[in-house]
Amino acid sequence: MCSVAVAAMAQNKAEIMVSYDTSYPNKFGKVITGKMSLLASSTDAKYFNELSLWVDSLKSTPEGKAQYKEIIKKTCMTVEPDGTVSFDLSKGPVKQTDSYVFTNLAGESLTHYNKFGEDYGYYTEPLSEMQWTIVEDSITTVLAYECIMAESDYHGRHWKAWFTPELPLQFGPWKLHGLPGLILKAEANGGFTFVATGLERTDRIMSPMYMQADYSRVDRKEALKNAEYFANNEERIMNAQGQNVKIYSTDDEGNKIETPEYDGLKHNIEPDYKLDK
Amino acid sequence: MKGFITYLVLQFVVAVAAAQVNVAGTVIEMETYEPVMGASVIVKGADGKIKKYSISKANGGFAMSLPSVAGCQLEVSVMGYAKKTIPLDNVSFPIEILLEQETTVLKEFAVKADRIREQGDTITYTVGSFAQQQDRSIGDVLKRMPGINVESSGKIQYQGEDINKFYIEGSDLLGGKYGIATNGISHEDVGAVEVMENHQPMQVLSGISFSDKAAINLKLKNKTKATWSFHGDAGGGYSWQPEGAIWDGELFAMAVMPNFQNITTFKSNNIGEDLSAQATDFFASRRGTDLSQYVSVSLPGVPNLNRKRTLFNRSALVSTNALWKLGRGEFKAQIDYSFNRVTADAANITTYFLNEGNRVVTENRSGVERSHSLSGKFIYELNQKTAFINNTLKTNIDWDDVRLGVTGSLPNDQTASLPDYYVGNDFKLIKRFNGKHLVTFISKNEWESLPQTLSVSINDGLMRQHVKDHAFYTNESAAYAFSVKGITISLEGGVKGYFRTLNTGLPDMPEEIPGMTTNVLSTNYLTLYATPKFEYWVKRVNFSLSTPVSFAHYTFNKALANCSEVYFSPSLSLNWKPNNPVSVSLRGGTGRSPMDLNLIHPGYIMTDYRSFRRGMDAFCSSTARNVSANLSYKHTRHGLFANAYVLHSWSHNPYTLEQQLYGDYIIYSYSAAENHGRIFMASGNIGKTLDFIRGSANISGSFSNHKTHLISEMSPVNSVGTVWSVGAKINGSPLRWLSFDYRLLLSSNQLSINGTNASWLGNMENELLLNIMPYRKWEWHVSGEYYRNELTSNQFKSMFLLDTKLIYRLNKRLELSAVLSNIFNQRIYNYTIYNQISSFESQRWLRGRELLISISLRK
Repeated sequence: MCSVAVAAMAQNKAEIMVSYDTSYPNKFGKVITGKMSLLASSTDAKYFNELSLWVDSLKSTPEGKAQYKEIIKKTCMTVEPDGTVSFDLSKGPVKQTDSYVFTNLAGESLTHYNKFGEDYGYYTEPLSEMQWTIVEDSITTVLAYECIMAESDYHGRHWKAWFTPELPLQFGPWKLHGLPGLILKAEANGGFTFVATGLERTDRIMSPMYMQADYSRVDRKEALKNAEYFANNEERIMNAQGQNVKIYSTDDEGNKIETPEYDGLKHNIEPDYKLDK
Repeated sequence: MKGFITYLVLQFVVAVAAAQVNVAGTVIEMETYEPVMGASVIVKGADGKIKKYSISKANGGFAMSLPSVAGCQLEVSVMGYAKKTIPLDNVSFPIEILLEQETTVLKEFAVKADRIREQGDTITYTVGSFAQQQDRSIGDVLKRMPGINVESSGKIQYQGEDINKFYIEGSDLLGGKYGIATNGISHEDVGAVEVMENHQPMQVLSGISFSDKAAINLKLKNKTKATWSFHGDAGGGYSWQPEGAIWDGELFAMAVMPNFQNITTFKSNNIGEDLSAQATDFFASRRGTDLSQYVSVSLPGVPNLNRKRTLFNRSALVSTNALWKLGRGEFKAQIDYSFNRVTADAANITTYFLNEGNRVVTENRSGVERSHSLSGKFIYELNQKTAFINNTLKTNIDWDDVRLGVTGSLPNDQTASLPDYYVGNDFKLIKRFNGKHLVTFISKNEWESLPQTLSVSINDGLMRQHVKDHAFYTNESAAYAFSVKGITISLEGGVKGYFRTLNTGLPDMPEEIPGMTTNVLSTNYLTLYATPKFEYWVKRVNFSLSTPVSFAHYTFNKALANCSEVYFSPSLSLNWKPNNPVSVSLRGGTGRSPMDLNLIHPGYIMTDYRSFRRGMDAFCSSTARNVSANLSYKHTRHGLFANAYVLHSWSHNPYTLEQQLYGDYIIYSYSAAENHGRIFMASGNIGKTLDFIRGSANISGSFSNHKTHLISEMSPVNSVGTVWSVGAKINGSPLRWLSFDYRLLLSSNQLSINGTNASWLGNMENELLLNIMPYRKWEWHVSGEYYRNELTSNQFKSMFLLDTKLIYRLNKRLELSAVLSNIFNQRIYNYTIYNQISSFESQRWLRGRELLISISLRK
């Protein structure tokens, strides 16, 4: 049954592709920006990062894995003429995010794949968890589309989303969905934002998750709690596993600085795991 | 009481519940009668606002309840289907909604991915994000990419430095003739342009020899790969000046296969587009034979005006270029033929500034120049990590003739024939052993013949200058280098031989001019040379010192005394990249070098009807020094690129050009006077993407100061020429149906002679193009050029030229267009420029109004 669903999904062609600029605050008090993509048809959507998708598709076969290793070596490894070897991962095609969201209207659910701390996991949640109130009078224009605002309280944050009925798709960035039009802009308290920067017609196939077997089903709140614990105790956890590491942070100039505490209330897009004790 | 209230509340709730309308139904596809999932179902009030919404389920069903639907309407929409609007006043539920298929058109605002990305040393520009509707070739789009500069000749620079390779899908098909690609390949076939910084084209040298140059690679779209692609244009029309028929045609074919590449193009026009420039080899180094034309009868050019406005031409170009991958190496063949016939008419007033008063010569010139050029290049190259082999056989035959009639103070008719025959072979072998040792062999052999004849009929007499000039050049060298811990030490040693004979004669000279008019001599040399080189390259710093030393023996076949010289000319360069965005280069050199052997000819040679040139009668050497600095900065995520360049050079020659007027004739000769020259140049450029209008902008500036010394009419003349220019460009498409290109150039020049400053003469050039797309199939360009040129101090000549073009796209493959250029039919243009010690006022004719109707096809 499961494989049938996968096969059906594999043939699921997207009709539209949206690029989003994302931003969120990190624990150093900086705003981190990123680029994400949404492929959507009238019944399904896949939210991902192009680079991560490319890396995962490559790594999903043994030959590809070897090829990827080679690419990283070529782009990131510098061998000085004097023989010293250094790696600068920022130079190469290295994943910046592991998050994928698959939304499926027929199943009335969405599935979120991510890396929680050290562990790869996924969970499924019903689409009904997100309920919106339309605020008709608040209108903005994104990519030449007139968008109407709607509000929702979702997993610990208050969301404002701007959707356009001109594009009758029920999806949006990340897990946001359920409005009678594509969500082109969204923001939540605490500095979490998504803005569409591009839109195009496509016939790309919404391929299912690569290396699905590496992900295990998790409870969302538990997984987020674990991730926060890992973020704040990384050095201890790694040393407990028998390694001997010292982890520290540096500023832009390379000076050692104090590592601030990760606080889900400030840094997580879904802080509800901290709210209900 | 309490019970009563409860009762009332209950009553109320029941009443409200009773008043609810249950808006429910099914969304169904009209043709297949299948349910449609995911449809937006919206109930809008009389005010047009959303009252409630729902999304159809897998069975197409939806349901919502509202207190009332009076005045409301139901809107049902799905991507790919026509939106359905149903007034709800007289509708009973459940309702069945049938949807009809219809393409949902997206608003054109696609900005995918980043416009510029950076990965390691490679900067990737997404072509689609820089192309504007009016662009045709990839060259049009390259001009818009910040950091990349395309000169008017078509030469490409990145951050102020010439590129060192131009690849198509990683293969170097065209060498330096990349103008064929930039002018030919449609931008729609190219997905991305990659700039590879610090590109070392020879893999065998990677990690050993530093390169401060960048290469460009065109990444083609998949549809263009592994297939032949074609496009062609054919146009015909009418021109008001020169009166008659005009044409413009092009055929372009390209194949990019894994083991084979080919680009073949045929072009022809008479609408002012000079095609010979498109086959220029921008990587060509100076020929070893080093011959240069003595006779110079050329048609006058026009500065500060788009060449297309003034060129009266008939041109054709055929170029075919193929590359085959053979095992680990590749073989390339490039064959080009170009024909150019140019006519020019001009009225000139030349004023010579002399101490005893100015002398004015007026001329009306009318000339025709025909040039044919046929060239072939055959290359085998093996480019591997341990070995590099390149053999290049090149031939070039030009046959040019010029006819120029002059009326005025010295009426005459000049005819020149200036063919050029050249053949050369370059061989280079580099082998790397144990990763650290490099051995190089180079063999270069070249032969050239440059016969020239100039016939001048003047004052009912006939003068005929003939020149026979042949040279053979050979250079054989071997080099050894070893590299350890970032330090490379190399020594190249070799021998150069040069054998040249010059034979000139001018039987009839004007009587006013005294002197010998024949030259029979050889200028031969044999040079032994050694070039030790030291290169230090660790992390972000590269330092390189080269100290060539040579011993040369010159023989002149008894025309001059033989002599021997030792030359030493060290040079130093330093490159520092403190971090990824910033790069700094410093270069300097000093040394002695032999004089230009073309200057040795004791007898007169007539170079045009009015000028006679006598060379040196002794061999000597010059010295020169130069320092330069280059600074570049980039921030790819912000699309910001900037660079600055400064050069200062000094030269010293033991001879000085002397100019003497004999009646209407000018005699050039050399006297044994010390001559110090100096050049200072500075330039800068800033480019930035403008994402909010999907465009880019560029600001550039340059300054140069050039000091020369010559002797005129027995008196020394020190002249200092100063030129500055500032330019700005901006383009974008602020609206879906509108894109624009704007360019502004301001420049000014001044000539100072013996400390007396002439006034600054300024020029301004403005160009604006608007592209309007009222409907998807129609496109309309309006472009204007405005020039304001200072003829003499505070006297300006302005000119406004207006063009328009209408394009109709039948489909993706077929396009019709009509161009009306120079709508106001402007036919005359005046300008003044300063030469070293003269001013030159010119009247030139422009191409008049032209109507050209074209059809374009592509596969």
